[in-house]
Amino acid sequence: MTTLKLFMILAFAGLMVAFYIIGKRRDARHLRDIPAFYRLKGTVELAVEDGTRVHVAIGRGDVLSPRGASAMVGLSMLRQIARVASDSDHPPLATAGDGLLGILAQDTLRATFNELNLAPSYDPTLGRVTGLTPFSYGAGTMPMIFDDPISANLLIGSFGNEAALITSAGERSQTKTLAGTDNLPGQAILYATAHDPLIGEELYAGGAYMDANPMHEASLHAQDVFRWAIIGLVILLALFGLVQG
Amino acid sequence: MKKFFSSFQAPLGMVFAIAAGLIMLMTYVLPLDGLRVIILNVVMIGAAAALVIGVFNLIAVHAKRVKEDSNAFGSVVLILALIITFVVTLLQDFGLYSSALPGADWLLNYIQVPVESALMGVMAVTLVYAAARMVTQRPNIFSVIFVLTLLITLIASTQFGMDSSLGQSIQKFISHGLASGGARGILIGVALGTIATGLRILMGFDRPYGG
Repeated sequence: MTTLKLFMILAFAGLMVAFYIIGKRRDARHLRDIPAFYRLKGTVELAVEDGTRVHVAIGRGDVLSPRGASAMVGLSMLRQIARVASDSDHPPLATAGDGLLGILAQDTLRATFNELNLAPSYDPTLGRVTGLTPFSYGAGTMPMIFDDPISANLLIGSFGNEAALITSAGERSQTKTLAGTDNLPGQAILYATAHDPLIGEELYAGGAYMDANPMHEASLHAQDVFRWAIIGLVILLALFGLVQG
Repeated sequence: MKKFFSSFQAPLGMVFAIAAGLIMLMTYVLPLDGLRVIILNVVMIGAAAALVIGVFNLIAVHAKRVKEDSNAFGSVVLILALIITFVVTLLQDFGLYSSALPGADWLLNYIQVPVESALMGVMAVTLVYAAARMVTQRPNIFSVIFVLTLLITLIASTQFGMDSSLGQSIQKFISHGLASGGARGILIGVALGTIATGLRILMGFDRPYGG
């Protein structure tokens, strides 16, 4: 069983590298349209021009568990947005519901400010821990959306029911909300409450659409191959079960 | 000198992160459970320290708000509540707090739990409003299916629905058939996304540690 697990991981990594090499050789991108990400790009550029702020919420996914992966995507998106918007009057603001994620958000923003030679204008309170339990995180983020000059909210990470409080604050302050989570009830809530909800694995595609690096696109293609393989396997096993009676 | 050391910070961070990730991965594949427990214990101590740093960050942000904004009443309440809870819990743990006075359990049961329950109530209203708004703001087939499914499931969950065999069949079909199939599909996507994110970090293409 462990050999099979290792083989699966190595096969996935191999596919990612293969698609990365193929992607380097061709100019055009081969991604399906996710309009939410195109709208996000426009919103970030508009925020820079009209002097407003973009709020990136990376949720409360425990980095020591698989839920941490969604927070990593959030950090990747934060870095991309910070690259565009850090030089503005109101650089992006990141909120987290976990101490470790708060530190990572601050570190990501600090690294981006350094990269852009803006180190003196970096403010550590741009990366904030707004609460350490689900509802305190939601309740702590709400006043920030009302009080700061925020024009867009990006919720990328692990969110549960508390996401409704954050998106409702976005709605009441008339700001755009793009949101995705790895949590199933959270996804249902975000589907109803966010302006641009991300469903399922769309959450993990953020880096590819925000031009993080070519490996993001390669990993999307590897996911597609594996997804079709799993679908085929599920159908085959179902047919096998039917035949066996 | 500082610049010299900071130039090594990013590559060193990357090497350390990749090495730690690979070792952890190997502990799941090879019989190295003992090593995994040791690493996890070290990481848990780091995570606990991060929690304390998170609390300090929370205080710093709200202290800044109190300093800059005269209407930051919520921030004043938060800082006071944090200090009171911390002091009460600390005194209780050291046995220096009278058991006749309201303690940490009282603060949890009579302040935090009611406040969170109230937020849950607000959330229920918010969700009903959001579902109604969704049909007008995003008038497409998926929004209609979402709201219809919500209504049917709610009706089937009432006493009237539970008493009728039709209601039970509908609820079973939706929750055990359609919803569980959809959930499995979404979870497969999430699992694949998680693997891809982990591998990108292991290969050094994603560096969420500021490198």
